[in-house]
Amino acid sequence: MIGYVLSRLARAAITLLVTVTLVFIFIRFSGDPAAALAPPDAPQEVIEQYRRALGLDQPLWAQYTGYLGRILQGDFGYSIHSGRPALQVFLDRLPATLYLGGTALLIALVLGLSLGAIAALNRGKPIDRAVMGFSVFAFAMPNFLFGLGMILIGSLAFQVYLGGQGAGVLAPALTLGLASMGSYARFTRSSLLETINKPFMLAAEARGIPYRRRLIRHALPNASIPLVTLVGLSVGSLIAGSVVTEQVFAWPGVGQLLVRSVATRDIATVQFLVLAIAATMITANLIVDLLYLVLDPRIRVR
Amino acid sequence: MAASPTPPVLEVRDLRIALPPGADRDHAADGIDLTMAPGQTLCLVGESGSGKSVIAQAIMGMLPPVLRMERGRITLQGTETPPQRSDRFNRLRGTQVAMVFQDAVSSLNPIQRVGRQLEEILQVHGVPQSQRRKRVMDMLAAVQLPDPDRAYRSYPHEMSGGQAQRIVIAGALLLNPALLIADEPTTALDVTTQAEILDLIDGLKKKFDTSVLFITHDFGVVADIADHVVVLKDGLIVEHGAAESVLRAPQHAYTKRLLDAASLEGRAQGGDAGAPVLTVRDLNLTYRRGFFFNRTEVAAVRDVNLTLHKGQTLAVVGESGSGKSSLAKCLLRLEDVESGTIAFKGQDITHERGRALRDFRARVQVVLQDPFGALDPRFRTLDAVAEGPIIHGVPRKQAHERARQMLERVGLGPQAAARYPQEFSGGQRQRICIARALVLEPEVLIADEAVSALDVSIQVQILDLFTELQKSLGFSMVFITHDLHVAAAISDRVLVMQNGRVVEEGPTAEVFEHPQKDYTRDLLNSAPGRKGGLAA
Amino acid sequence: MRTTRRTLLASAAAIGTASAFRPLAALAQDARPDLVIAVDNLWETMDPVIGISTSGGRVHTNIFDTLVRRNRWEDPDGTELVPWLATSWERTSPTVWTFQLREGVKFHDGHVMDAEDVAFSISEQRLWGDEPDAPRGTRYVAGIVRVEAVGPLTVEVETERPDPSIPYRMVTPIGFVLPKHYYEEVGKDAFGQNPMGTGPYKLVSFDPSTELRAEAFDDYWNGPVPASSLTFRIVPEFSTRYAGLAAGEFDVIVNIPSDQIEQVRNTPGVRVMEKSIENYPMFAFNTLETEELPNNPLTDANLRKAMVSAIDREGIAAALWDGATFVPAPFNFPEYGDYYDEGRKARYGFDPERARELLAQSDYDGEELIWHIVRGFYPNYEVAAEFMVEQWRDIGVNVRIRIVDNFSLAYQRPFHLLNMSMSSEFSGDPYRPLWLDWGPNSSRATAAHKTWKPTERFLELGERFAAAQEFEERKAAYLDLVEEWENVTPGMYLWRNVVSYGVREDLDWDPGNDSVTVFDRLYMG
Repeated sequence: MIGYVLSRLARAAITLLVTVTLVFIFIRFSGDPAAALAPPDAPQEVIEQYRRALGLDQPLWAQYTGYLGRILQGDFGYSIHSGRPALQVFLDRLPATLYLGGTALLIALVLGLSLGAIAALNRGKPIDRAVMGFSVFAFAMPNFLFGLGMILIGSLAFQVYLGGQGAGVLAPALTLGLASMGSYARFTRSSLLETINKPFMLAAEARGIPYRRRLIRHALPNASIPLVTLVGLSVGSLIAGSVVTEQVFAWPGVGQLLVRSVATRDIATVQFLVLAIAATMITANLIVDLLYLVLDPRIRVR
Repeated sequence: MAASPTPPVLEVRDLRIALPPGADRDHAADGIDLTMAPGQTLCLVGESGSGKSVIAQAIMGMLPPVLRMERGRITLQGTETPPQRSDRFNRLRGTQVAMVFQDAVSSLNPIQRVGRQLEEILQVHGVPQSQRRKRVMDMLAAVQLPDPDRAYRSYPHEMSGGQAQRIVIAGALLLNPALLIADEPTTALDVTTQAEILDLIDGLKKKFDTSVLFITHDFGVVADIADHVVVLKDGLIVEHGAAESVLRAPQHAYTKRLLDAASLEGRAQGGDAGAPVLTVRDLNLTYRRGFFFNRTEVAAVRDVNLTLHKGQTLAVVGESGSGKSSLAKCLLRLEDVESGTIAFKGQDITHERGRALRDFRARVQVVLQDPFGALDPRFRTLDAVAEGPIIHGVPRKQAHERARQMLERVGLGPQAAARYPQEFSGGQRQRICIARALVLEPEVLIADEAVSALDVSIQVQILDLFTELQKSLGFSMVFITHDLHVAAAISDRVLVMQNGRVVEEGPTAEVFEHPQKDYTRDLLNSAPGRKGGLAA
Repeated sequence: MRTTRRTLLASAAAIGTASAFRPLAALAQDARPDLVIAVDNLWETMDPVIGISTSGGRVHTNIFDTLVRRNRWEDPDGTELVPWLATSWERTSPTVWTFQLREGVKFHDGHVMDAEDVAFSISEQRLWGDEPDAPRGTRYVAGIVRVEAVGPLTVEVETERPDPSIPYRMVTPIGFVLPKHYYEEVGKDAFGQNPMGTGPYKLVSFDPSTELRAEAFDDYWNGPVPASSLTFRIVPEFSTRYAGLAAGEFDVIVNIPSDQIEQVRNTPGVRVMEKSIENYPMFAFNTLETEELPNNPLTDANLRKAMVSAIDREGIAAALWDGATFVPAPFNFPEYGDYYDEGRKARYGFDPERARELLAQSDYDGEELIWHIVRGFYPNYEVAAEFMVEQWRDIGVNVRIRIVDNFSLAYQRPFHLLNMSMSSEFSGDPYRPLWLDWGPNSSRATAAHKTWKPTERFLELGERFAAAQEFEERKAAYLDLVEEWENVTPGMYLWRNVVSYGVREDLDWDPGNDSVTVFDRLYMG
């Protein structure tokens, strides 16, 4: 088991290195950060001055090894625009994103699981079809469209502004969690249906265990194990969705920072953000794997 | 009707269970009468679709909603049972009537410890917490688990099939029900384990004074444990009576057929051995799994030698995990062997690639266990059979003609050619699979548990088909099976495997009559029916 | 609920002790509004030179004052210079300008502004040394060689050569006066996060990721201050800004996409202002033969003139902007006061016949010309470009648009046409657009992406223009220079750029033709 964890960590480290390298390359080939930093009609000397200040006048390999070396020392560089450490810029924004993403995940889990369970227990009935119809809608609805729709209807029809932190986390969290909710509902339904028809459920009935207890103590725990993987995977889509959602709802989180840093070619910040996102996703997957070990005794034998 | 002083444990009167409209018959069971006295073992015998499991479900009150109990009465210890699936039934289940199923591991919740699942039975039936642990431990000891403490803490997957079946039986008997229904509880087990479980059930029956309703397709099992026998066919009782009289003098033709299937005699194929077709020397195969930190190795095949002669059948016999299927994969060149050689008609093909391998594969064909998974549901029968020749370069028209002829030879009429696999029964599908393998005119046919999924009477037909085709077409056959009856029925020579190694090898009759090794002897003694007088 | 004294008391108590300590009388007295301005972005530092940008410019003038100001509250184009922190200025020698400063102007911490602060703000170390702290201001300080406090309220600015534009330059961001004592104490990074000036609003908080809040500075020298507080809040998405405006959450929103103007205009309780500002989108012809473009047909002036003559700029501008802006003749811009001549027309106006004649005189034979355009950078530019490509096709010139994501990609050769814009914001005469933007030191002539080499005559006329100190002489040189520019035709101006604001209908505020937003008593009623 320790070997298993170690091998996962080794793989994570390799993934991070590849990510760092790709970001380093792409950001340098998608346009000159110095030219983007200087005003569009700045004279060449000014651009050169920025280039020196950013270290972009050095050969590429020297920039790369220097960058890797600094990362290993925990130095992720400084934001071009504010001069503040990229790490600090990120940490300032992190609570807002965690709050939004956490709430979205909670909403998606609670609603998705309940809807999925309701649908599974009413299989084939109109309520099942309604729930599944809704989950397809939720999954397929682009979140910028849903978010904008909500904001515009709120303000034009009800004179209520749903953007910004002042209006609360509910509207953006619902927008962000919608797609995941839809897929959780569908997955819960099919997983629960599959579990309900497993032989051990029949055997439990033959042992005289009442229906509710069979459902809650036996079917749900078994049905929710594969859901852990789905939740782990949806961390990725939550991060991707937060970029759009934060932009639409004027939510000052990491997603918004990413858009802004890419637009202004703030190299250090973009590099750090991509690194942080990759690390988050790798960690999420690692947690899923470890959670499996805890939840499913069958995996532990490996 | 006046109640007798000790009412029967179970009484079923004129039970009729309707099938939903559109099924191939209108009832799952009809006119069923059963009476079980205390301490009795009643065997309900029949093949799949005979209605035996439906009757058991009805007694448990667990008939699925699509099956309606149309008529009849079920009483347990003189009291009529509540309506099907009603909440009141929960109180009877476990206390008056309990049931164990075929696959014990999967009838336990995979993510709960066994002890907890057993205690839950006591809990939902109102046994105080203070007594539960002790009663569970006592029962675990009663089912003769070697280490009850460990079993209590185990998860289902950590146990073998036999251990799990003991656990499930322990759970069924915890509340000392008057009736235990056992639905094919040993069918998924190896022969030696099967014998142990049958012994256990028999012993517990006496110890706890429980009646047993035993559902099986195997007259070997009937011979070992039954007091009474009821034979079912298509939902109707065709014969019933005391076990000895039914076994000794079966009245109904169907009963006779089932009895024949259970007591398959070795065939006297004999015949001179032709030239060696397949020769295996010192074959080894090891499975390696995992990344460098958590690598595991399993030696699946170890130092195996075998020779298959032209026109002969070699049976490879072993329990699960003995390496017999891995050996088959090596013979088919589906696994890269670790060491050793495989020679086909004198030519070493162990490491052949490309064209040479393709040629080899055309001459060695396989028939697998599961006739349902082996056929693509979108292919018509004719296309499925003709696919092989077409791939190997036979013109389409000619291939279709050969396929048609082969389908006829395996006993499927011309109308079968245009139909889809899902329109056939299991036995018919296996015929299609055999046609598909033989249409390429192979020199070797490898049959991997090719009849295990079939009902016994169908098994007999398919085994006869193999024998007959082998005579007329002259191919050699490697027949892999866990079932000693089958091995006896089909093979000239037999090879017994255990833990990847060959334990014993020789002419079938000789090995079965005078086994040299303890393991072989154990296997033969465990075969159901031995005790009850049915010879293997 | 009607607000009575009781409910006020109750809510004050509910809000908590912090506000309860504030005298209720002051609360009741301050009837001034709290304005919320929804902006697409805020620059991450509020140092007014390091943070030169459109998003920073909306804030700076509310916190800082410049030495000199332009009067846009009476004349939207602001052609008149107004004494501001400098009460007067004069040329005390051909190369020296002397500024007299206003007395008793206080910074937000109560410190009184003096000449040292001004000298510091325009100092060598900050703006024009070899490696200045604020390099983004380089283009405004060209030629300055000495800035010195010569009295408590007197500052001298000396230039290398006689330069009549110095007072105008004090209108630009380099004219903002910063508190020397505070800036040196906290350093440039901390100053950028906690800026302090002499302006009408005093910073309360600044979080570059969410908002900047400032409250009325009651000691403002030019008070009273019309709003109780200003909040510049980041709302990146237009629809969200619009929703907030419609819901009454915001008082002002910026940057309405041109295709949404009508929708905003039709929203009850909202009015739209479209302002043409001192920036002119254009494209430059690549007139050079380079390694990447060995047989560049655009080296032929006839082809360039043909292409310019083929375009109906007035028609396109009218269709796209609906009267919100206009098409200028080259360098004939209204913000240049006396240099502006309403009657002057472009020498190569829309004339398809002439375009075909000019084309016939060129060697062009149908090669594809590539036009690099940065996605979404100039409003309506891409749409206009599509029209123009059609009009060029009509006379037989084959242009293909390549949309790229940023300027450094646009600058990658080979290209035949390159999108650009040019600002005209300071100096009171066309010196900058004509000489700084096209002269021998301009990026058009020197940068890696340069597109032309000024002609001998252009250089000669430019020197004459730069040296001229009197208006008549200067204007004559200017007209000659324009003529030479049109002779070469190294580019084409499209229209005057437009910014748009959505404003709560009852807010009496008008920023003039500017992207800078000021909420002092001159701009806000």
